[in-house]
Amino acid sequence: MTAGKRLLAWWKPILTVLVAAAVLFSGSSFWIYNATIVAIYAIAIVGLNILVGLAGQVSFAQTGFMAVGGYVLAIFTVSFHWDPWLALLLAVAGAGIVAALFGWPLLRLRGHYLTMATFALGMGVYALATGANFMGGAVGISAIPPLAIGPVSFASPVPAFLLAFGLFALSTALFSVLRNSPVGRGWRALSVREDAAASIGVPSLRYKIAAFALSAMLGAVSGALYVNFTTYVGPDLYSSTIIVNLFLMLFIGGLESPYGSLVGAAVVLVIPELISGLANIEGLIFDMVLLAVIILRPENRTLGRRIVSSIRQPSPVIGSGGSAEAAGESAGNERGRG
Amino acid sequence: MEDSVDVLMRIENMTVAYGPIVAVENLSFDVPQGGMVLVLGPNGAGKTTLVSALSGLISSRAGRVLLGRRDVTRIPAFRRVGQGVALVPEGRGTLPGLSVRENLYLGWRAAGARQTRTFGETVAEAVDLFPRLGERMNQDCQTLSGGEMQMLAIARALASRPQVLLLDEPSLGLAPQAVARVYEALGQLNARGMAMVVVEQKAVPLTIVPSLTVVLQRGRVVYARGGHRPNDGELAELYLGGGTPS
Repeated sequence: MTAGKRLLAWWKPILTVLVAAAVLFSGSSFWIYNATIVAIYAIAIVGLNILVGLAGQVSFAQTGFMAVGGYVLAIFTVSFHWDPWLALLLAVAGAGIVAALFGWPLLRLRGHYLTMATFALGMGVYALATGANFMGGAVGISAIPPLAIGPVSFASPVPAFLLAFGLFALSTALFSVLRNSPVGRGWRALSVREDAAASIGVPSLRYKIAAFALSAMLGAVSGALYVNFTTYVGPDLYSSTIIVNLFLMLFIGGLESPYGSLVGAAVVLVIPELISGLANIEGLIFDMVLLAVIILRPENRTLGRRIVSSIRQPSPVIGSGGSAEAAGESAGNERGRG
Repeated sequence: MEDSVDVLMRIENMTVAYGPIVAVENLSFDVPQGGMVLVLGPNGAGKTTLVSALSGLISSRAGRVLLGRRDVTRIPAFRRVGQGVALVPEGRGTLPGLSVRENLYLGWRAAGARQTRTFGETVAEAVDLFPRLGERMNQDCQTLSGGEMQMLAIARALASRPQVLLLDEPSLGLAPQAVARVYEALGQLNARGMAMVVVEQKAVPLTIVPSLTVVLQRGRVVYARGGHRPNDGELAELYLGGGTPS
Protein backbone atom coordinates (compact mmCIF):
# COMPACT_ATOMS: atom_id res chain seq x y z
CA MET A 1 0.00 0.00 0.00
CA THR A 2 1.40 3.38 -0.98
CA ALA A 3 1.58 6.25 1.51
CA GLY A 4 -1.25 8.01 -0.33
CA LYS A 5 -3.51 4.98 -0.16
CA ARG A 6 -2.65 4.45 3.50
CA LEU A 7 -3.58 8.05 4.20
CA LEU A 8 -6.83 7.60 2.29
CA ALA A 9 -7.68 4.50 4.35
CA TRP A 10 -7.29 6.61 7.51
CA TRP A 11 -9.21 9.64 6.28
CA LYS A 12 -12.08 9.26 8.72
CA PRO A 13 -10.00 9.21 11.94
CA ILE A 14 -7.71 11.91 10.55
CA LEU A 15 -10.68 14.14 9.68
CA THR A 16 -12.22 13.49 13.10
CA VAL A 17 -8.99 14.49 14.86
CA LEU A 18 -8.64 17.61 12.69
CA VAL A 19 -12.23 18.73 13.30
CA ALA A 20 -11.92 18.00 17.03
CA ALA A 21 -8.65 19.95 17.19
CA ALA A 22 -10.21 22.87 15.30
CA VAL A 23 -13.11 22.95 17.77
CA LEU A 24 -10.78 22.74 20.74
CA PHE A 25 -8.40 25.45 19.55
CA SER A 26 -11.25 27.73 18.47
CA GLY A 27 -11.79 28.34 22.17
CA SER A 28 -15.52 28.72 21.54
CA SER A 29 -17.44 27.52 24.56
CA PHE A 30 -20.51 26.93 22.34
CA TRP A 31 -18.65 24.57 20.01
CA ILE A 32 -16.67 22.83 22.75
CA TYR A 33 -19.85 22.20 24.76
CA ASN A 34 -21.79 20.91 21.76
CA ALA A 35 -18.91 18.81 20.43
CA THR A 36 -18.60 17.19 23.87
CA ILE A 37 -22.31 16.33 23.91
CA VAL A 38 -22.03 15.00 20.34
CA ALA A 39 -19.07 12.77 21.25
CA ILE A 40 -20.91 11.50 24.35
CA TYR A 41 -23.99 10.56 22.33
CA ALA A 42 -21.80 9.10 19.58
CA ILE A 43 -20.49 6.54 22.10
CA ALA A 44 -24.06 5.33 22.69
CA ILE A 45 -24.60 5.22 18.91
CA VAL A 46 -21.44 3.12 18.41
CA GLY A 47 -22.94 0.72 20.96
CA LEU A 48 -26.25 0.72 19.14
CA ASN A 49 -24.33 0.17 15.92
CA ILE A 50 -22.80 -3.02 17.33
CA LEU A 51 -26.28 -4.35 18.07
CA VAL A 52 -28.17 -3.03 15.05
CA GLY A 53 -25.46 -2.56 12.43
CA LEU A 54 -23.38 -5.67 13.13
CA ALA A 55 -25.72 -8.13 14.82
CA GLY A 56 -28.91 -6.95 13.09
CA GLN A 57 -31.02 -6.77 16.27
CA VAL A 58 -33.21 -3.70 16.61
CA SER A 59 -33.39 -2.57 20.23
CA PHE A 60 -35.15 0.49 21.62
CA ALA A 61 -33.70 -0.12 25.06
CA GLN A 62 -30.50 1.90 24.61
CA THR A 63 -31.85 4.89 26.53
CA GLY A 64 -32.62 2.47 29.37
CA PHE A 65 -28.95 1.51 29.54
CA MET A 66 -27.87 5.13 29.27
CA ALA A 67 -30.13 5.68 32.28
CA VAL A 68 -28.46 2.81 34.15
CA GLY A 69 -25.11 4.51 33.52
CA GLY A 70 -26.34 7.93 34.55
CA TYR A 71 -28.32 6.89 37.61
CA VAL A 72 -25.74 4.44 38.98
CA LEU A 73 -23.08 7.16 38.77
CA ALA A 74 -25.41 9.69 40.39
CA ILE A 75 -26.80 7.49 43.18
CA PHE A 76 -23.50 5.90 44.17
CA THR A 77 -21.62 9.19 44.26
CA VAL A 78 -24.36 11.33 45.86
CA SER A 79 -26.02 8.84 48.23
CA PHE A 80 -23.13 6.46 48.98
CA HIS A 81 -20.21 8.86 48.41
CA TRP A 82 -18.36 6.44 46.14
CA ASP A 83 -15.44 7.60 44.08
CA PRO A 84 -16.95 8.64 40.69
CA TRP A 85 -14.50 6.45 38.76
CA LEU A 86 -15.54 3.42 40.80
CA ALA A 87 -19.20 4.34 40.29
CA LEU A 88 -18.54 4.61 36.54
CA LEU A 89 -17.06 1.10 36.49
CA LEU A 90 -20.04 -0.23 38.44
CA ALA A 91 -22.43 1.55 36.06
CA VAL A 92 -20.83 -0.02 33.00
CA ALA A 93 -20.61 -3.50 34.53
CA GLY A 94 -24.16 -3.18 35.87
CA ALA A 95 -25.54 -2.23 32.48
CA GLY A 96 -23.80 -5.25 30.93
CA ILE A 97 -25.23 -7.59 33.57
CA VAL A 98 -28.74 -6.11 33.32
CA ALA A 99 -28.59 -6.40 29.52
CA ALA A 100 -27.46 -10.02 29.70
CA LEU A 101 -30.23 -10.90 32.18
CA PHE A 102 -32.98 -9.21 30.14
CA GLY A 103 -31.42 -10.27 26.86
CA TRP A 104 -31.67 -13.96 27.74
CA PRO A 105 -35.47 -14.01 27.33
CA LEU A 106 -35.92 -10.94 25.08
CA LEU A 107 -33.46 -11.88 22.37
CA ARG A 108 -35.36 -15.06 21.63
CA LEU A 109 -37.94 -12.75 20.09
CA ARG A 110 -37.55 -11.60 16.51
CA GLY A 111 -38.51 -8.64 14.34
CA HIS A 112 -41.29 -6.39 15.65
CA TYR A 113 -41.70 -8.48 18.80
CA LEU A 114 -38.10 -7.81 19.82
CA THR A 115 -38.50 -4.12 18.98
CA MET A 116 -41.62 -3.81 21.10
CA ALA A 117 -40.13 -5.75 24.01
CA THR A 118 -36.98 -3.62 24.08
CA PHE A 119 -39.10 -0.47 23.77
CA ALA A 120 -41.02 -1.66 26.85
CA LEU A 121 -37.71 -2.20 28.65
CA GLY A 122 -36.53 1.31 27.79
CA MET A 123 -39.83 2.82 28.84
CA GLY A 124 -39.86 0.68 31.99
CA VAL A 125 -36.58 2.25 33.09
CA TYR A 126 -38.03 5.70 32.28
CA ALA A 127 -41.14 4.93 34.36
CA LEU A 128 -39.00 3.65 37.23
CA ALA A 129 -36.85 6.79 37.13
CA THR A 130 -39.93 8.99 37.16
CA GLY A 131 -41.59 7.20 40.05
CA ALA A 132 -38.81 6.02 42.34
CA ASN A 133 -37.86 8.36 45.20
CA PHE A 134 -34.32 7.00 45.51
CA MET A 135 -33.79 8.04 41.87
CA GLY A 136 -34.98 11.55 42.53
CA GLY A 137 -38.38 11.09 40.89
CA ALA A 138 -39.36 13.51 38.12
CA VAL A 139 -36.98 16.14 39.51
CA GLY A 140 -33.93 13.92 39.19
CA ILE A 141 -30.62 14.27 41.02
CA SER A 142 -28.42 17.36 40.82
CA ALA A 143 -24.94 18.38 41.96
CA ILE A 144 -23.38 15.06 41.10
CA PRO A 145 -19.67 14.92 41.97
CA PRO A 146 -17.70 14.87 38.73
CA LEU A 147 -15.00 12.46 37.57
CA ALA A 148 -11.65 13.99 38.42
CA ILE A 149 -7.94 13.31 38.47
CA GLY A 150 -6.38 15.43 41.20
CA PRO A 151 -7.41 19.04 40.58
CA VAL A 152 -8.64 18.33 37.02
CA SER A 153 -12.42 17.98 36.93
CA PHE A 154 -13.89 16.23 33.90
CA ALA A 155 -17.04 18.32 34.20
CA SER A 156 -15.01 21.32 32.99
CA PRO A 157 -15.34 21.98 29.27
CA VAL A 158 -11.89 21.08 27.95
CA PRO A 159 -11.20 17.99 30.12
CA ALA A 160 -14.76 16.78 29.44
CA PHE A 161 -14.19 17.31 25.72
CA LEU A 162 -10.95 15.32 25.82
CA LEU A 163 -12.47 12.54 27.91
CA ALA A 164 -15.51 12.26 25.62
CA PHE A 165 -13.43 12.15 22.43
CA GLY A 166 -10.91 9.78 24.03
CA LEU A 167 -13.64 7.33 24.99
CA PHE A 168 -15.30 7.77 21.59
CA ALA A 169 -11.97 6.84 19.95
CA LEU A 170 -11.73 3.77 22.20
CA SER A 171 -15.28 2.69 21.39
CA THR A 172 -14.58 3.17 17.67
CA ALA A 173 -11.42 1.09 17.92
CA LEU A 174 -13.38 -1.60 19.79
CA PHE A 175 -16.03 -1.56 17.06
CA SER A 176 -13.43 -1.92 14.30
CA VAL A 177 -11.58 -4.74 16.06
CA LEU A 178 -14.81 -6.59 16.78
CA ARG A 179 -16.17 -6.07 13.28
CA ASN A 180 -13.29 -8.01 11.74
CA SER A 181 -13.02 -10.61 14.49
CA PRO A 182 -14.62 -14.07 14.35
CA VAL A 183 -17.33 -12.76 16.70
CA GLY A 184 -17.97 -9.81 14.39
CA ARG A 185 -18.28 -12.12 11.40
CA GLY A 186 -20.69 -14.24 13.41
CA TRP A 187 -22.76 -11.14 14.22
CA ARG A 188 -22.82 -10.13 10.58
CA ALA A 189 -23.86 -13.67 9.67
CA LEU A 190 -26.78 -13.72 12.07
CA SER A 191 -27.82 -10.22 11.03
CA VAL A 192 -28.44 -11.61 7.56
CA ARG A 193 -30.01 -14.96 8.38
CA GLU A 194 -30.11 -16.72 11.69
CA ASP A 195 -30.53 -20.16 10.13
CA ALA A 196 -27.53 -19.61 7.87
CA ALA A 197 -25.51 -18.37 10.86
CA ALA A 198 -26.47 -21.40 12.93
CA SER A 199 -25.56 -23.67 10.04
CA ILE A 200 -22.00 -22.34 10.16
CA GLY A 201 -21.72 -22.88 13.89
CA VAL A 202 -22.74 -19.47 15.21
CA PRO A 203 -24.63 -19.82 18.53
CA SER A 204 -27.20 -17.14 17.72
CA LEU A 205 -28.62 -16.45 21.18
CA ARG A 206 -25.22 -16.24 22.85
CA TYR A 207 -23.88 -13.91 20.16
CA LYS A 208 -26.98 -11.72 20.37
CA ILE A 209 -26.68 -11.47 24.15
CA ALA A 210 -23.00 -10.53 23.80
CA ALA A 211 -23.90 -7.76 21.32
CA PHE A 212 -26.76 -6.57 23.54
CA ALA A 213 -24.55 -6.45 26.64
CA LEU A 214 -21.69 -4.70 24.86
CA SER A 215 -24.08 -2.20 23.33
CA ALA A 216 -25.60 -1.58 26.76
CA MET A 217 -22.17 -1.06 28.32
CA LEU A 218 -21.31 1.62 25.75
CA GLY A 219 -24.75 3.12 26.38
CA ALA A 220 -23.93 3.23 30.08
CA VAL A 221 -20.55 4.91 29.40
CA SER A 222 -22.39 7.51 27.37
CA GLY A 223 -25.09 7.99 30.02
CA ALA A 224 -22.55 8.31 32.81
CA LEU A 225 -20.39 10.78 30.86
CA TYR A 226 -23.42 12.95 30.12
CA VAL A 227 -24.40 13.01 33.78
CA ASN A 228 -20.80 13.72 34.77
CA PHE A 229 -20.60 16.62 32.31
CA THR A 230 -23.95 18.22 33.20
CA THR A 231 -23.86 17.10 36.89
CA TYR A 232 -27.58 16.31 36.58
CA VAL A 233 -29.65 13.20 35.92
CA GLY A 234 -33.40 13.03 35.45
CA PRO A 235 -35.97 10.95 33.57
CA ASP A 236 -36.33 13.60 30.84
CA LEU A 237 -32.92 12.50 29.53
CA TYR A 238 -34.29 9.06 28.66
CA SER A 239 -37.76 9.72 27.22
CA SER A 240 -39.20 8.14 24.07
CA THR A 241 -38.11 11.24 22.10
CA ILE A 242 -34.50 10.45 22.95
CA ILE A 243 -34.96 6.86 21.72
CA VAL A 244 -36.21 8.16 18.37
CA ASN A 245 -33.34 10.63 18.22
CA LEU A 246 -30.81 7.85 18.84
CA PHE A 247 -32.14 5.93 15.84
CA LEU A 248 -32.14 9.11 13.78
CA MET A 249 -28.46 9.57 14.66
CA LEU A 250 -27.78 5.93 13.81
CA PHE A 251 -29.43 6.02 10.40
CA ILE A 252 -28.00 9.42 9.46
CA GLY A 253 -24.52 8.22 10.41
CA GLY A 254 -25.02 4.89 8.72
CA LEU A 255 -25.10 1.32 9.92
CA GLU A 256 -21.71 -0.28 10.50
CA SER A 257 -20.10 3.17 10.48
CA PRO A 258 -18.66 4.18 13.86
CA TYR A 259 -17.42 7.56 12.59
CA GLY A 260 -20.85 8.12 11.09
CA SER A 261 -22.15 8.02 14.68
CA LEU A 262 -20.40 11.32 15.24
CA VAL A 263 -21.96 12.80 12.10
CA GLY A 264 -25.43 11.49 13.03
CA ALA A 265 -25.18 12.90 16.55
CA ALA A 266 -23.90 16.24 15.20
CA VAL A 267 -26.78 16.56 12.73
CA VAL A 268 -29.46 15.74 15.30
CA LEU A 269 -27.99 17.69 18.22
CA VAL A 270 -26.18 20.68 16.73
CA ILE A 271 -28.36 21.74 13.78
CA PRO A 272 -31.37 22.52 16.01
CA GLU A 273 -29.03 24.65 18.15
CA LEU A 274 -27.79 26.55 15.10
CA ILE A 275 -31.26 27.29 13.74
CA SER A 276 -33.00 27.82 17.07
CA GLY A 277 -33.40 31.55 16.36
CA LEU A 278 -35.49 30.94 13.25
CA ALA A 279 -38.70 30.61 15.25
CA ASN A 280 -41.50 29.10 13.14
CA ILE A 281 -39.45 27.60 10.32
CA GLU A 282 -36.94 25.86 12.59
CA GLY A 283 -38.73 22.51 12.33
CA LEU A 284 -39.12 22.80 8.57
CA ILE A 285 -35.41 23.51 8.00
CA PHE A 286 -34.37 20.67 10.30
CA ASP A 287 -36.68 18.23 8.48
CA MET A 288 -35.30 19.34 5.10
CA VAL A 289 -31.71 18.86 6.30
CA LEU A 290 -32.62 15.40 7.57
CA LEU A 291 -34.28 14.46 4.29
CA ALA A 292 -31.28 15.72 2.30
CA VAL A 293 -28.81 13.78 4.48
CA ILE A 294 -30.85 10.60 4.22
CA ILE A 295 -31.25 10.89 0.43
CA LEU A 296 -27.58 11.74 -0.12
CA ARG A 297 -26.30 8.77 1.87
CA PRO A 298 -24.54 6.39 -0.56
CA GLU A 299 -26.99 3.53 0.00
CA ASN A 300 -29.92 5.88 -0.68
CA ARG A 301 -28.60 7.61 -3.80
CA THR A 302 -30.85 5.54 -6.05
CA LEU A 303 -33.82 6.86 -4.09
CA GLY A 304 -32.42 10.39 -4.44
CA ARG A 305 -32.02 10.02 -8.21
CA ARG A 306 -35.56 8.70 -8.50
CA ILE A 307 -36.97 11.66 -6.56
CA VAL A 308 -34.98 14.15 -8.66
CA SER A 309 -35.98 12.48 -11.95
CA SER A 310 -39.63 12.33 -10.89
CA ILE A 311 -39.49 16.09 -10.19
CA ARG A 312 -37.91 16.76 -13.61
CA GLN A 313 -40.38 14.59 -15.56
CA PRO A 314 -43.82 16.12 -16.10
CA SER A 315 -46.62 14.04 -14.62
CA PRO A 316 -48.84 12.21 -17.13
CA VAL A 317 -52.14 14.00 -17.66
CA ILE A 318 -54.99 11.84 -16.46
CA GLY A 319 -57.54 11.13 -19.15
CA SER A 320 -55.46 12.40 -22.07
CA GLY A 321 -54.93 10.12 -25.03
CA GLY A 322 -51.95 7.81 -24.83
CA SER A 323 -51.30 8.48 -21.16
CA ALA A 324 -51.42 4.81 -20.23
CA GLU A 325 -48.79 4.07 -22.84
CA ALA A 326 -46.63 6.91 -21.60
CA ALA A 327 -47.07 5.76 -18.04
CA GLY A 328 -46.07 2.26 -19.06
CA GLU A 329 -42.91 3.54 -20.70
CA SER A 330 -42.16 5.64 -17.68
CA ALA A 331 -42.54 2.64 -15.41
CA GLY A 332 -40.27 0.67 -17.70
CA ASN A 333 -37.62 3.37 -17.58
CA GLU A 334 -37.92 3.50 -13.83
CA ARG A 335 -37.32 -0.22 -13.59
CA GLY A 336 -34.36 0.16 -15.89
CA ARG A 337 -32.81 2.76 -13.67
CA GLY A 338 -33.45 0.77 -10.52
CA MET B 1 -34.73 -51.22 11.41
CA GLU B 2 -31.51 -53.22 11.57
CA ASP B 3 -28.36 -51.63 12.84
CA SER B 4 -25.80 -51.36 10.12
CA VAL B 5 -22.34 -49.84 9.89
CA ASP B 6 -23.30 -48.60 6.42
CA VAL B 7 -25.89 -46.22 7.83
CA LEU B 8 -24.44 -42.75 8.39
CA MET B 9 -27.60 -40.96 9.49
CA ARG B 10 -30.78 -42.56 10.73
CA ILE B 11 -34.08 -40.75 11.11
CA GLU B 12 -36.46 -42.66 13.35
CA ASN B 13 -40.17 -41.86 13.60
CA MET B 14 -39.59 -38.13 13.36
CA THR B 15 -42.54 -35.83 13.96
CA VAL B 16 -42.17 -32.07 13.76
CA ALA B 17 -44.99 -29.66 14.53
CA TYR B 18 -45.57 -25.94 14.77
CA GLY B 19 -48.09 -25.74 17.59
CA PRO B 20 -51.10 -27.77 16.47
CA ILE B 21 -49.90 -28.01 12.86
CA VAL B 22 -47.99 -31.20 12.16
CA ALA B 23 -45.48 -30.46 9.40
CA VAL B 24 -43.68 -33.83 9.31
CA GLU B 25 -45.30 -36.97 10.67
CA ASN B 26 -43.63 -40.16 11.76
CA LEU B 27 -40.89 -40.05 9.18
CA SER B 28 -38.15 -42.70 9.06
CA PHE B 29 -35.33 -43.30 6.63
CA ASP B 30 -31.61 -44.01 6.55
CA VAL B 31 -28.86 -42.08 4.82
CA PRO B 32 -26.22 -44.62 3.85
CA GLN B 33 -22.47 -43.90 3.97
CA GLY B 34 -21.67 -42.10 0.73
CA GLY B 35 -25.29 -42.25 -0.35
CA MET B 36 -27.75 -39.67 -1.55
CA VAL B 37 -31.31 -39.35 -0.34
CA LEU B 38 -33.52 -37.26 -2.59
CA VAL B 39 -36.59 -35.82 -0.87
CA LEU B 40 -39.22 -34.43 -3.21
CA GLY B 41 -42.52 -32.78 -2.52
CA PRO B 42 -44.77 -29.86 -3.43
CA ASN B 43 -45.05 -26.63 -1.46
CA GLY B 44 -46.07 -27.28 2.13
CA ALA B 45 -45.02 -30.93 2.03
CA GLY B 46 -42.64 -30.45 4.97
CA LYS B 47 -39.35 -30.57 3.08
CA THR B 48 -37.73 -27.49 4.63
CA THR B 49 -39.06 -28.53 8.04
CA LEU B 50 -37.39 -31.90 7.56
CA VAL B 51 -33.92 -30.52 6.73
CA SER B 52 -34.30 -27.88 9.45
CA ALA B 53 -34.95 -30.63 11.97
CA LEU B 54 -32.08 -32.75 10.61
CA SER B 55 -29.71 -29.80 10.93
CA GLY B 56 -30.98 -28.90 14.42
CA LEU B 57 -32.49 -25.55 13.50
CA ILE B 58 -35.84 -26.67 14.86
CA SER B 59 -36.68 -29.33 17.42
CA SER B 60 -38.65 -32.42 16.60
CA ARG B 61 -41.69 -33.26 18.71
CA ALA B 62 -40.99 -36.98 18.56
CA GLY B 63 -38.47 -39.40 17.12
CA ARG B 64 -34.68 -39.46 16.91
CA VAL B 65 -31.87 -38.46 14.61
CA LEU B 66 -28.78 -40.66 14.86
CA LEU B 67 -25.45 -39.73 13.34
CA GLY B 68 -23.62 -43.01 13.23
CA ARG B 69 -24.54 -44.46 16.62
CA ARG B 70 -24.78 -41.08 18.29
CA ASP B 71 -28.15 -39.52 19.11
CA VAL B 72 -27.94 -35.89 17.94
CA THR B 73 -31.67 -35.13 18.25
CA ARG B 74 -31.27 -32.55 21.00
CA ILE B 75 -28.03 -31.03 19.77
CA PRO B 76 -28.65 -27.46 18.47
CA ALA B 77 -27.72 -26.48 14.93
CA PHE B 78 -24.61 -24.49 15.79
CA ARG B 79 -23.14 -27.55 17.56
CA ARG B 80 -24.46 -30.11 15.09
CA VAL B 81 -22.37 -28.57 12.30
CA GLY B 82 -19.31 -29.32 14.41
CA GLN B 83 -20.47 -32.94 14.61
CA GLY B 84 -20.48 -33.21 10.83
CA VAL B 85 -23.98 -32.16 9.74
CA ALA B 86 -23.78 -29.21 7.33
CA LEU B 87 -26.77 -27.40 5.92
CA VAL B 88 -27.01 -25.48 2.66
CA PRO B 89 -30.13 -23.48 3.48
CA GLU B 90 -32.92 -22.56 1.12
CA GLY B 91 -32.11 -19.34 -0.71
CA ARG B 92 -28.37 -20.07 -0.33
CA GLY B 93 -27.80 -18.18 2.94
CA THR B 94 -24.59 -16.59 1.72
CA LEU B 95 -23.72 -13.55 3.79
CA PRO B 96 -23.73 -10.23 1.93
CA GLY B 97 -21.09 -7.79 3.04
CA LEU B 98 -18.67 -10.68 3.43
CA SER B 99 -16.34 -11.75 0.66
CA VAL B 100 -16.32 -15.23 -0.83
CA ARG B 101 -13.17 -15.95 1.17
CA GLU B 102 -14.80 -14.75 4.42
CA ASN B 103 -17.84 -16.93 3.78
CA LEU B 104 -15.55 -19.92 3.28
CA TYR B 105 -13.64 -19.00 6.42
CA LEU B 106 -16.84 -19.10 8.48
CA GLY B 107 -17.56 -22.57 7.17
CA TRP B 108 -13.97 -23.69 7.78
CA ARG B 109 -14.07 -22.39 11.35
CA ALA B 110 -17.39 -24.10 12.08
CA ALA B 111 -15.72 -27.52 11.97
CA GLY B 112 -13.96 -26.71 15.25
CA ALA B 113 -11.80 -29.54 16.52
CA ARG B 114 -12.89 -31.79 13.63
CA GLN B 115 -11.12 -29.56 11.11
CA THR B 116 -8.31 -31.46 9.45
CA ARG B 117 -7.37 -29.05 6.67
CA THR B 118 -5.72 -25.66 6.70
CA PHE B 119 -7.84 -22.78 5.46
CA GLY B 120 -5.62 -22.54 2.38
CA GLU B 121 -6.29 -26.20 1.54
CA THR B 122 -10.01 -25.63 2.04
CA VAL B 123 -9.99 -22.68 -0.36
CA ALA B 124 -8.05 -24.76 -2.90
CA GLU B 125 -10.63 -27.56 -2.63
CA ALA B 126 -13.47 -25.10 -3.14
CA VAL B 127 -11.81 -23.67 -6.23
CA ASP B 128 -11.11 -27.17 -7.52
CA LEU B 129 -14.82 -28.02 -7.28
CA PHE B 130 -16.06 -24.60 -8.41
CA PRO B 131 -13.35 -22.81 -10.45
CA ARG B 132 -15.60 -19.73 -10.80
CA LEU B 133 -15.23 -19.08 -7.06
CA GLY B 134 -11.47 -18.71 -7.55
CA GLU B 135 -12.08 -15.68 -9.78
CA ARG B 136 -14.45 -14.16 -7.22
CA MET B 137 -12.54 -14.91 -4.00
CA ASN B 138 -12.23 -11.32 -2.76
CA GLN B 139 -15.56 -10.09 -4.08
CA ASP B 140 -18.51 -9.30 -1.83
CA CYS B 141 -20.68 -12.37 -2.25
CA GLN B 142 -23.78 -10.29 -2.99
CA THR B 143 -22.19 -9.38 -6.32
CA LEU B 144 -22.24 -13.06 -7.38
CA SER B 145 -24.80 -14.56 -9.73
CA GLY B 146 -27.41 -16.92 -8.28
CA GLY B 147 -25.50 -19.96 -9.49
CA GLU B 148 -22.23 -18.71 -8.04
CA MET B 149 -23.94 -17.99 -4.72
CA GLN B 150 -25.23 -21.55 -4.64
CA MET B 151 -21.73 -22.82 -5.40
CA LEU B 152 -20.41 -20.69 -2.54
CA ALA B 153 -23.11 -21.96 -0.18
CA ILE B 154 -22.14 -25.55 -1.00
CA ALA B 155 -18.41 -24.82 -0.76
CA ARG B 156 -18.95 -23.12 2.60
CA ALA B 157 -20.86 -26.11 3.92
CA LEU B 158 -18.11 -28.44 2.64
CA ALA B 159 -15.48 -26.29 4.37
CA SER B 160 -16.91 -27.49 7.69
CA ARG B 161 -15.80 -31.07 6.84
CA PRO B 162 -19.29 -32.57 7.01
CA GLN B 163 -20.11 -36.23 7.18
CA VAL B 164 -23.48 -35.48 5.67
CA LEU B 165 -24.55 -32.53 3.57
CA LEU B 166 -28.14 -31.29 3.75
CA LEU B 167 -29.28 -29.22 0.77
CA ASP B 168 -32.58 -27.36 0.81
CA GLU B 169 -33.75 -26.76 -2.76
CA PRO B 170 -30.36 -26.01 -4.32
CA SER B 171 -32.00 -25.46 -7.71
CA LEU B 172 -34.38 -22.78 -6.43
CA GLY B 173 -34.33 -19.64 -8.59
CA LEU B 174 -31.46 -20.83 -10.78
CA ALA B 175 -31.25 -20.94 -14.57
CA PRO B 176 -31.22 -24.47 -16.04
CA GLN B 177 -27.49 -24.25 -16.89
CA ALA B 178 -26.65 -23.24 -13.33
CA VAL B 179 -28.81 -26.06 -11.96
CA ALA B 180 -26.96 -28.52 -14.19
CA ARG B 181 -23.59 -27.20 -12.98
CA VAL B 182 -24.63 -27.42 -9.34
CA TYR B 183 -25.92 -30.98 -9.74
CA GLU B 184 -22.82 -32.00 -11.68
CA ALA B 185 -20.76 -30.86 -8.68
CA LEU B 186 -23.08 -32.68 -6.27
CA GLY B 187 -22.65 -35.81 -8.39
CA GLN B 188 -18.86 -35.46 -8.17
CA LEU B 189 -19.03 -35.01 -4.40
CA ASN B 190 -21.28 -38.01 -4.00
CA ALA B 191 -18.97 -40.08 -6.18
CA ARG B 192 -16.14 -39.15 -3.78
CA GLY B 193 -18.20 -40.53 -0.90
CA MET B 194 -20.01 -37.48 0.45
CA ALA B 195 -23.37 -38.48 1.91
CA MET B 196 -26.18 -36.03 1.27
CA VAL B 197 -29.85 -35.35 1.71
CA VAL B 198 -31.18 -33.22 -1.13
CA VAL B 199 -34.61 -31.63 -0.90
CA GLU B 200 -36.26 -30.45 -4.09
CA GLN B 201 -39.69 -29.50 -5.33
CA LYS B 202 -39.31 -30.80 -8.85
CA ALA B 203 -37.28 -33.35 -10.77
CA VAL B 204 -33.65 -32.28 -11.09
CA PRO B 205 -30.85 -33.23 -13.51
CA LEU B 206 -29.12 -35.80 -11.29
CA THR B 207 -26.02 -37.37 -12.76
CA ILE B 208 -26.39 -40.28 -10.34
CA VAL B 209 -29.24 -42.46 -9.17
CA PRO B 210 -30.11 -41.67 -5.53
CA SER B 211 -29.78 -44.37 -2.89
CA LEU B 212 -33.30 -43.49 -1.83
CA THR B 213 -35.99 -41.22 -3.19
CA VAL B 214 -38.68 -40.07 -0.79
CA VAL B 215 -41.74 -38.11 -1.85
CA LEU B 216 -43.53 -36.13 0.87
CA GLN B 217 -47.11 -35.00 0.73
CA ARG B 218 -48.44 -32.95 3.65
CA GLY B 219 -45.69 -34.19 5.94
CA ARG B 220 -46.17 -37.87 5.13
CA VAL B 221 -44.22 -40.23 2.94
CA VAL B 222 -46.25 -41.17 -0.12
CA TYR B 223 -43.38 -42.75 -2.02
CA ALA B 224 -40.06 -44.25 -0.97
CA ARG B 225 -37.92 -46.32 -3.25
CA GLY B 226 -34.22 -47.06 -3.53
CA GLY B 227 -32.17 -47.00 -6.72
CA HIS B 228 -34.79 -45.10 -8.68
CA ARG B 229 -36.20 -41.62 -8.95
CA PRO B 230 -39.63 -40.72 -10.20
CA ASN B 231 -39.76 -38.85 -13.49
CA ASP B 232 -41.80 -35.68 -14.05
CA GLY B 233 -44.93 -37.66 -14.96
CA GLU B 234 -44.75 -39.83 -11.86
CA LEU B 235 -44.12 -36.79 -9.71
CA ALA B 236 -47.15 -35.01 -11.13
CA GLU B 237 -49.26 -38.05 -10.33
CA LEU B 238 -47.87 -38.20 -6.77
CA TYR B 239 -48.25 -34.46 -6.15
CA LEU B 240 -51.76 -34.29 -7.52
CA GLY B 241 -53.15 -37.65 -6.52
CA GLY B 242 -51.08 -38.46 -3.46
CA GLY B 243 -50.97 -42.12 -4.39
CA THR B 244 -48.29 -44.51 -5.56
CA PRO B 245 -47.44 -44.14 -9.23
CA SER B 246 -48.07 -47.09 -11.47
